[in-house]
Amino acid sequence: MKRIGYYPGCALLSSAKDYNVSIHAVFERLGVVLEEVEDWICCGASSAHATDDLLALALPARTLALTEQAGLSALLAPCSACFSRLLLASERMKGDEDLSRRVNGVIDPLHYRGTVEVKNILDVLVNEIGISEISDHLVRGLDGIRVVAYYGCWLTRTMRVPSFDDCEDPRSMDRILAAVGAEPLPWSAKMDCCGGSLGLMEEGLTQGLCRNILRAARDVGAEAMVTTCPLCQANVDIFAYKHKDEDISVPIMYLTDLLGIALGCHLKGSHWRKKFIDPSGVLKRHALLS
Amino acid sequence: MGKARTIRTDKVIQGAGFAHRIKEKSGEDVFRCYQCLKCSTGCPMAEAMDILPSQVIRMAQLGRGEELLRSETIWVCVSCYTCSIRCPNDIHIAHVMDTLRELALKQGIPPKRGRVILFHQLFLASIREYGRVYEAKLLAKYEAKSGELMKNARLGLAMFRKGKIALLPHKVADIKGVRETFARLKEGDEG
Ligand code: SF4
Ligand code: SF4
Repeated sequence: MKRIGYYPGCALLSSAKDYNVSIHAVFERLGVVLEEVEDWICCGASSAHATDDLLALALPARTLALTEQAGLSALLAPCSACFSRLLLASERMKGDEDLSRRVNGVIDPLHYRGTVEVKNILDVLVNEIGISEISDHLVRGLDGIRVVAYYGCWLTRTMRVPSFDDCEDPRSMDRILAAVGAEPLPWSAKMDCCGGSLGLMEEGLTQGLCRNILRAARDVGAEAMVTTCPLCQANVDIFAYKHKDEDISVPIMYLTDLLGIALGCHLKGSHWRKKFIDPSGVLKRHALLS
Repeated sequence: MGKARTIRTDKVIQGAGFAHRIKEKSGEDVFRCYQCLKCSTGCPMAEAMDILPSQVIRMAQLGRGEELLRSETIWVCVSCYTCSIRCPNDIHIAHVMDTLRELALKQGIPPKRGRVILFHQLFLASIREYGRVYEAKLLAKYEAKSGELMKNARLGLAMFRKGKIALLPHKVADIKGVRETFARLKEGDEG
């Protein structure tokens, strides 16, 4: 049985609890133990990196040091923002002794030696577990449900760190979806920005972004959008809910929600009602929900 | 971010000193830019900016700090990294934006988008208090202080009903350690 460090991040404890549920269900089915790093702290998100560079390194460094202490060599961060913050902090510290000394001075008595490999969920599913392994666990094909895989910004924009997938045209999520019987459609907005946390503060500025993403999904005839980022999910879902009158709403689910169905995990009926735009109708149309 | 953090090594706002300060603090060689405009072309927030990303880099070269630190752009950039990943000269433009925001705050320059910085401050205060973000309190405070109380009330209620807002904070065990980290950073800032 495989074991991997797990960093749920703040969103998965509140607005994206359902994501946490389906991740656990899917990984259990695949025989991978998620070991939550005890006492992990918030990655600082945009609020740290936009205001104080050293803080933006120190917050992830505390969690990375705890990960090392727990004897874990890899850390799975399902949220794209957390993934990006943890990865970039780890890599910058690894590559710069002076910086590493300064950050370690600030988090003392904790100390990060730079041994943790930070991973996002697509990387783990495709490269650690493998698509054939996922197919082996298939109990219910997804009936050709037409979906668009929405990757968003940070998953593959890993800057000077080699990305697990093409940074301008990633395919890994599409490959997973195809392997479990969905029909992933090519579309133009797979990497477009949802507005991130600015959506909460300056809604007027970011509305156009979500509108374009939903339109692009509608234009190719998608029945649902699929994402791995709780921030992307929230921004698009909330926009669609607030602008129902525009008739562009498409439900947006987590990849592990659909994988959960495909692998025969038990997800409660209330799971689907956690989204503002309830995907149950679409799922029932394909006999994927009873 | 209050008075105590204002102006220490950051006195130079204009000229070559500013250009080199940006280069040194961000670690990004802005002098490599040859104005291909790729960054501005792909920027999803370009429409809302007063200075385009390519212009930011050019103005950084020229040391036009005053305009940059007072710009709308630095508070409108969403850090999507589209510009950075595409720059043919490997300039991490989004990180330069971070550096400009940090300098603006440290110099006590009032941000063009006050709500953005209010949100960041409340977010960080939440981490300092609990080690993790306690959304219910963060959102309540933000709504109250930004004067947006009623605007999002319906959404807040809907989120609450869907169980999307945790009622209680998740405080980490080593909160003392977290606060020490914050305190050391502040000391470093003032010292
Ligand atoms: S993409 Fe790079 S080289 Fe081109 S204008 Fe922008 S910063 Fe300059
Ligand atoms: S990181 Fe900022 S400047 Fe760069 S493309 Fe995104 S919004 Fe524009």
